[in-house]
Amino acid sequence: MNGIILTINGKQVKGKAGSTVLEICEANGINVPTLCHLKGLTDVGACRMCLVEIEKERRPVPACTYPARDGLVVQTSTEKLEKHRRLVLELLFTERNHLCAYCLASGDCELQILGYEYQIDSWRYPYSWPSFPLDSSDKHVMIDHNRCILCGRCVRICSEKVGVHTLDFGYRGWKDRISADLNQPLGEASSCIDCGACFQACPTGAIWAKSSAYRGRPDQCKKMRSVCALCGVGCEIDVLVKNNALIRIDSTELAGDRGVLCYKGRFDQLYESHQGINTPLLRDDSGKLKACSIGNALDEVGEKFGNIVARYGKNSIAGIASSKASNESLKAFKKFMTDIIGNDLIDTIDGDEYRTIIQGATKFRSGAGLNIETTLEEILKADCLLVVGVNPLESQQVAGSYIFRAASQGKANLIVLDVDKNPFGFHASTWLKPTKGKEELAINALTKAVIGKLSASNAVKAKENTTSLGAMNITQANKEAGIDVEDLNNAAAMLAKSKHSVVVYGKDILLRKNPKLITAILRLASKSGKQNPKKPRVISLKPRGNSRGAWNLGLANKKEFSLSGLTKNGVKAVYLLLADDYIDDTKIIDGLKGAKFVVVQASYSSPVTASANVVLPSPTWAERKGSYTSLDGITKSTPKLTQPQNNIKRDEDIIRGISKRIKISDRRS
Amino acid sequence: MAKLGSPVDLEKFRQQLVSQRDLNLPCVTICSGTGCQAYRAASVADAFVREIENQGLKKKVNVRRTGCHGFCERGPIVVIFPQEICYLGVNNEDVPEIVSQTLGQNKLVESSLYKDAKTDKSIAYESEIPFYKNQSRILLGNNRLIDPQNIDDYIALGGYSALVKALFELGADKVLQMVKDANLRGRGGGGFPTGIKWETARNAPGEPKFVIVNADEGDPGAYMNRSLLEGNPHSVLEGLIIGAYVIGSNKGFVYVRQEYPLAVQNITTAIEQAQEYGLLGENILGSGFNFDVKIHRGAGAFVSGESSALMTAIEGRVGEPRPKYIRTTVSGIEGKPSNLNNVETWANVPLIISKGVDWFKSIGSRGNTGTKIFSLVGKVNNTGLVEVPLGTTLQEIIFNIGGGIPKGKRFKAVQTGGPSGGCIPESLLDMPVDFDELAKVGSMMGSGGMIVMDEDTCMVDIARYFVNFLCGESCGKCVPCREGLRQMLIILNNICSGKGKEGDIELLQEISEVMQDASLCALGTTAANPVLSTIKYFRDEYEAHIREKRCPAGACRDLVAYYILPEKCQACLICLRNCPAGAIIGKKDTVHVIDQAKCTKCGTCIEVCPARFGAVVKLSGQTVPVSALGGTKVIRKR
Repeated sequence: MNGIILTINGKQVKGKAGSTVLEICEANGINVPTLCHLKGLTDVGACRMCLVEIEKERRPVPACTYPARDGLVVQTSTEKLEKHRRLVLELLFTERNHLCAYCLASGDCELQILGYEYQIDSWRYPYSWPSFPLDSSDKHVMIDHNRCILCGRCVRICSEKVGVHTLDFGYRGWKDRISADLNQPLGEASSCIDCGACFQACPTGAIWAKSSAYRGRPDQCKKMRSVCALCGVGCEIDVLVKNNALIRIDSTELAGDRGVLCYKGRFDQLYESHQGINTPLLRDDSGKLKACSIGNALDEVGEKFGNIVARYGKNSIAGIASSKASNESLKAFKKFMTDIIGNDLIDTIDGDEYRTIIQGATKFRSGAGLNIETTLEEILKADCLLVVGVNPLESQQVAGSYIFRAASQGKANLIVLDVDKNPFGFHASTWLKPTKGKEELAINALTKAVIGKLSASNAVKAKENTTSLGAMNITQANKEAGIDVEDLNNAAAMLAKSKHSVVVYGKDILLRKNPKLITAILRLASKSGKQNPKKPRVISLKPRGNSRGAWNLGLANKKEFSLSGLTKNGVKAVYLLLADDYIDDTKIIDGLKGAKFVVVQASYSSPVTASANVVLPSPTWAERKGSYTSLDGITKSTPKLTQPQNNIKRDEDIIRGISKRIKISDRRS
Repeated sequence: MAKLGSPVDLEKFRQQLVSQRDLNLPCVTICSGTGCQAYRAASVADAFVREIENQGLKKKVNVRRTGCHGFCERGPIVVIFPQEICYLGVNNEDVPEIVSQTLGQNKLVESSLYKDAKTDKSIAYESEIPFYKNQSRILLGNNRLIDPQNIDDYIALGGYSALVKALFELGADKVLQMVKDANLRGRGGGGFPTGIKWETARNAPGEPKFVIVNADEGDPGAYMNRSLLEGNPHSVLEGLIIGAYVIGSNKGFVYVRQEYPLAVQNITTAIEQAQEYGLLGENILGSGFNFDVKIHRGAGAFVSGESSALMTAIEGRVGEPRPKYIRTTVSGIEGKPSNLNNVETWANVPLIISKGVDWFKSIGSRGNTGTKIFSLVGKVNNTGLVEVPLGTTLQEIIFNIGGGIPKGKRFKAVQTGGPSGGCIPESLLDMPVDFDELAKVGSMMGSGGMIVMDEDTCMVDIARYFVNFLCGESCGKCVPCREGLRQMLIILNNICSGKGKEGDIELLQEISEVMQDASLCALGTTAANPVLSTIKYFRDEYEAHIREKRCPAGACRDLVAYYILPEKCQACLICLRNCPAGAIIGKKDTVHVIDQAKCTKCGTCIEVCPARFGAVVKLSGQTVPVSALGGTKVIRKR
């Protein structure tokens, strides 16, 4: 119904109402040069490259901001337009130091491409030779103002998609310059979260990443679609690989809904942060870990596991996996423990968090599983956001961006409920600060206050389900949990009148190991505005990259699982699959002390591998083909990006190797 | 003061005010506009109060500090009512005499009266002074009658009766029709029909709607909006309320430059007083119409006078323009319908409502109705604010009202429309000044700046001056304006300093063309006007600079040299002693010589050389003759 027909360059072209002329050109394969346009961002019409002529318009208009209408007659390439474009390019080239020979973006520069297209081989204006400063203060990103064309793509991505508003324009006219915060060096700009979106958005070499600089142009690299497995947001990425090394990580669709990356996903993976394990290690008679062949290591593990099972029974070996491992590794690991060893003494490192969530959810509604949670996209649609006990900028930075994005367009109110040490609270319109340990009281008081603000008919219904809150009152919350009554009422009013509220909770709540807190959060969410009472919009920020995947596979134990308790009660050997997780948790290290025989399968040396009897190598995320499940349940896979050193075998192959060897010894008993 | 709850209340209050005022009582009005304040008008006003008290006339004379009278060249201006005796350039020493003679004995003080340069006769009454006589001051006229800080003055003169008429007699539809019929065009420069603008905003979907006063007058040398807002803020406010009523807006903004402290102060006071009287706020005069106004002070960016940039600034962001293919009347502040009009446009509205469409259309020319205020500045005798019907000729404005060019010099050009306007040459002096005619000759109305230039002005230098201004004020968002202006400035600098080369003019024209076609906002599309119009009408000057390295007006420092004619020099040592650079060599009885290497071309020598000698000359485009080493002996004149 809302289709429109335009005449572009003499041809009839169909389009959707509400799109711009540029969008219709793009959809129909009509090339219009652009510089300041980046799909997904608000168009500003600054560069004037996309000028087109439209009948009845006095002057050429930028296609990117001109709303398409039925019956428009458009010319995208006339002599006049090409002349204008050429002059604009000429002006841009003489403006700052666009000397491709010295620029690391050469070969990957939109200005350069247009320069070739329009054959800008000389210019008639004096060259400006500006000497703007080079800002190298940031850890990852450098800004070279001398190569900036002031298209503002970095500014817009920073405010519209990342939501932190670090970058903006400073000064005026030709002195205009990208500036961070209050014109500080980027490294000192406190609002910057180092996500690197500006770097990817930059069409020239004005913003670049130290990690990728001069290491290879895109056309020299192999580009592979992958998924980041670090935190569970599950960002899709394009990885550029050259000479078996990761050169650069890009978002697949930077300005798309799930386009923003964080500094961990974009930059940290390009650096080795820990000592890698390239070879199996075996503890020798002197008690030192020595390198050995994989065959020897597997023989040792097979023999020892076989002996222990033979001597102490099948419940003498426990298995712990890190939820950073891929679904395939985890599946193999579980199969090994249940089928080969034959027990259910299996857990993930974040098993406690799993049990807290599941027990809490079941108490809210029997039979509820992880599926009760909503998706991350819901955050973007929210009109009211409640963040409980987590700083998303630390744990899942991209989720933090979603929250900023929803809140910064002025459409969503942001409420934070956490102790006053959480800096995320400074972004909130209302910050409820409960005293530590009194979160449950605070949440329940808020629920009660929300019910109080609901319209009469809704309130009656709401009360029926919350009789347990009967004795609760707000004064108590004020006295015991230290919640400001006015703030509480404000927050309650926002939640009660919202049409699409979303509650996000995480780390600090999960660490309490108190399922009642989860129940309280679910109950609060179910009362906040329009909600499906059985599946209120709640999402938990889970501790590890593949937590949801591991939990879905049943790796986390439903029962209480304590390593030290187990070793006291007969567990003699522990098998740890860490994959590329780095663990220095003293609880685990102490728990391992009670075991006679410890096998650790890991990519990096850590205090845990140091206490092992046998260390088996494990390929890293980049070295392994595999799939990962995001915290809201979407599974994506990644190819093998680089070849592992020493041809380290896949986790599954190593586990199969142990299985084979264990069988032989198993028959003895 | 209790709120005025109905039109009857307002009318009663007005009658009460009028009855309290004795119109026959002499009233001394002292212009307290910014211009006169710079001439210490505040101190003169204090002196009047003191002196009147000293001479025991306190009960017999009123004193009023009013807004700008317009004749800024001759401030401070004092007008004594009811006779309207006009004293110009009054200072504190003149006050006792004026008080004793004029107020005490009803005699004129000759020394402070206007003296006609041609006839050498004194003129006592304001309305007879040529500067005023030839104007139609329908907007500015009330400035001299009103204390802008006192709403009662405005009400006593019939203020807010147009609002009553609009709210209770006409209704929104009829008011809109009247504004459309009157063909009131936007006084901010674009000349867009105000009625149509209002209608678009009125019919646009979306709530709330906003109305805005654009008082971000940033053109160099222009100050008509400032004087209106300072001198008669309620006329603007009344227009705004009427517009809001028509459009269906409950929230208005006055965007005023922070650099206009007095305007900010007076409009703030005016809004407070209107609120106190119930002329702003809830249920205005019992009509059920609610409307309030907030002041937004501009942070000093010229481009923020552009409508979309101004609205972006009101939203609290950097004042940069955005593409307006959806008009701001449909999607302005926060994407809501927003109607922006210039100060002068708003001030016209109450006049149209109370005096009628026919009256308004009788002023001005066809398609260009009403008056326009110009700030007449530059090389003209009577600098000041001039209000004339649209269609008045340049000749009339510059020579009859402005009194012609000082020192008998020759008129060269007039620049209209602020920095983005064009320069109009002598041959077009008979041109009627209106929106359409100005655009035809490559200039524009702008907000009404009018800068007169005489033969000593170099047109290349003028183009360079305006391009330099715009270069500093371009926001930097779009490439053609940001870089085009800078490259033009570089080229013009080269031409002015003798480094111009063949092809520069064509390059300037090419950049201009792209800027006109491809810039984002009106700042960029009009920024080339000063260059294009000077090339069009004064191309020979450009060519002289480029080909002969000569500045015909002798204004471009790099292209002129000062030279002492040996046959005329009388070795009087005056220039030698006055030269700040010590560049003149000579002694008694020896012809003085300027050391060109040391000369800074300040022109002091030519100024101090006694006219009877006339020995120093300015050379341009020719080599300076070499003087004999050691000097030659002076040939004494008899």
